Amino acid sequence: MNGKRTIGILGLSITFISICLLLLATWLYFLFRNTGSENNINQQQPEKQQTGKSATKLPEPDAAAVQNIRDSLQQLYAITTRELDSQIDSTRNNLDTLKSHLDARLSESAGLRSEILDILKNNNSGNEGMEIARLKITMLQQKVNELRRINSDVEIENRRLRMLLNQAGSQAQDKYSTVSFSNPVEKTDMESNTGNQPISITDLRLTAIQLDEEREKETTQAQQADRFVGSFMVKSNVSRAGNAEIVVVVLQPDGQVLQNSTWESGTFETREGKRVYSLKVKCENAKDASSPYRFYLNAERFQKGNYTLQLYQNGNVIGRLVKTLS
Amino acid sequence: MCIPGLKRISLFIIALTAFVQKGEAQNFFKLKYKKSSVYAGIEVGAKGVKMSVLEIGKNAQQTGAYNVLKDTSINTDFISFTGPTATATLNGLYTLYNNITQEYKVAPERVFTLISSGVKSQADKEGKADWINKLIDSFRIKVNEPARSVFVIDVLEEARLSHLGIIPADRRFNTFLIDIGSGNSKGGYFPNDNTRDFKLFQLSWGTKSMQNATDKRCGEDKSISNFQKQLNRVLAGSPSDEITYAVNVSNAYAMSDNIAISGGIAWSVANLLYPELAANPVVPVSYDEVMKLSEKMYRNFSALSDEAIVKTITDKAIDKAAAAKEIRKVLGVFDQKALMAGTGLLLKVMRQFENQADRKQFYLVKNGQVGWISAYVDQYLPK
Repeated sequence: MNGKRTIGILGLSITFISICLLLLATWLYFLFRNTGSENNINQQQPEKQQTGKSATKLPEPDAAAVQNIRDSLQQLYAITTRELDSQIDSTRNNLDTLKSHLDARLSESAGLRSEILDILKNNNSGNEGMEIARLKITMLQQKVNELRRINSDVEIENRRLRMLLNQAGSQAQDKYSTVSFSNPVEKTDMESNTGNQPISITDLRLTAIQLDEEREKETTQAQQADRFVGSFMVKSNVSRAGNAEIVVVVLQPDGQVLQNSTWESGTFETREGKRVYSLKVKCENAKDASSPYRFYLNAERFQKGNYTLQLYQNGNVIGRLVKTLS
Repeated sequence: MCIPGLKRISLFIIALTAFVQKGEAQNFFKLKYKKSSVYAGIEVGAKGVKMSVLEIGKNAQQTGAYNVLKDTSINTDFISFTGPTATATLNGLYTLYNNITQEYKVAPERVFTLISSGVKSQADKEGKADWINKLIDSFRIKVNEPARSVFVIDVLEEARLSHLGIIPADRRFNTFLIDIGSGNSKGGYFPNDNTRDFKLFQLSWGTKSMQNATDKRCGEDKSISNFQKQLNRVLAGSPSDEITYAVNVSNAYAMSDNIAISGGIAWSVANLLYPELAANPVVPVSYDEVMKLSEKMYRNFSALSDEAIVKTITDKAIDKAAAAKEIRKVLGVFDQKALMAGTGLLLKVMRQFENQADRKQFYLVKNGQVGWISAYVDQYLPK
């Protein structure tokens, strides 16, 4: 278990070092580009000097200083790469150790299993043999339980580390965003549109459909309607939106929540307390979503009147629309 | 010329009679679905005869849409296999059959009669299979329907039909269903993407047997704290090993995304946890939610009264009276100790499927006992 935990921490370290390397590479790139620009300027200056009679000679760039910086950066890069290599090696070693532990556990379990099978197959095994088999089965079950518990603990730890990493990543991204988009008007607009939600909804639609011999026809008549088809676009307000779960609530004219199937419905927490939802829509990689998300709601009977569609994320309303059926 | 005319009139009368009969059955109950039919099932179980009337939606197999219109039973204890209990069972069967066909006007061809697996296995064990045959023959004579089908189903077929009836088609091949009964638990799943092969899962523990085993360990100290202590010991013993072994052997963990649990304790926990969803036959739950409820059952049972629970409902659209009624029903069927014992067993089963890496969705099914009727309509009636 400690080995797996170490792997998790090493994974985190490697990711952190990779981020450092990336930043370092970016810095180097800018440094060399700037140096290149300076060289270009320096190359242009002599021409100016040649054309402009009154131009004075600019001081020569300190080549030694640039070389020093370059050397020190190369040294730093070499050290970091060496560290990364050693981290990878140690991770590999740990993996091997873990694998050997796992192999040992598995071979123990396999050994036990074959012993049990032998006893059970042996017709001459008396009560004593059966008792031994029972004990071995119990041992096998304990080993399985132990493995499962260990696995569960490691998964919890991995989740925690992933969360920490995501948190650290998004904090860094948020800082970067604040610096880049410092226009106060844009920021205010964004806040008022999204209510500080990581994602916002656009192009929200709800259409009543009549199914006529497998063909779908739009209708506004409650009596003709067989289903609602809803759609919306997701716009991410943060750099790292990832996967999002949108809770869809469709309130019928009588105030009851329209439910597709009770297998899809349930309750969720809002600021006002627990509420029943119609269904949930999973938005995978919300940041890159370019096509609308769709959902369907079938009903045996549609009532006449206003249907209110509400979309929630993290218990907050992020989209709302009213549809009337006559 | 005259004969074809008479034939036409006769056909019209027959059609009209059938229509009126069907119409009467449909009109007797308040139906939920736009396109549906009413069916009834009468089941001779180990403890008694049970009748359920169901409204089955047009797309029941796709959506699992069925609505329980009536559910009633008569205690007869048929598995004692004595003269009086057999007579009581026959009378119960006859009374309920008459009730459904005469009073509720459900056409006889829409009433299914069967002998449950519990009765069959007990009869097989005791060599009393002829008692079942006698019961069936006597019933046919009494209702004057010599050709009436009375199915005797085994545990595998019962579990298969329940799965087909309860689980909607789109979740059929990734859902493991387990019915936690009073004396044992059974269920399973379809491992091969067809509805013929069914992987059966059985446990020798149920809500009542768990409570009995705990009571036995409690001795003179009948306090709740001692019950909780002893319950934990019972759960850690034989049930734990059996559940772990049965789940591992069934391979249900690897093969399922959804774990659906039915039975009395599932119905109780669903109503206590989600009073807002009192009208829903299925509710999604998490292991943690059931765990917290279990704690409340032991430490703060008064918080589970109907008044206390209804106070927590904040959604104004919810019918609080209906929710309170369901909670009162639960508390009328199960006392504190029974709820603790059943929930303990439920948690033990759920624990086997709880894993952070590969999360399964748990569902509690409220009316699982009538699922077979819906499946029966689909499987055995001509389309």
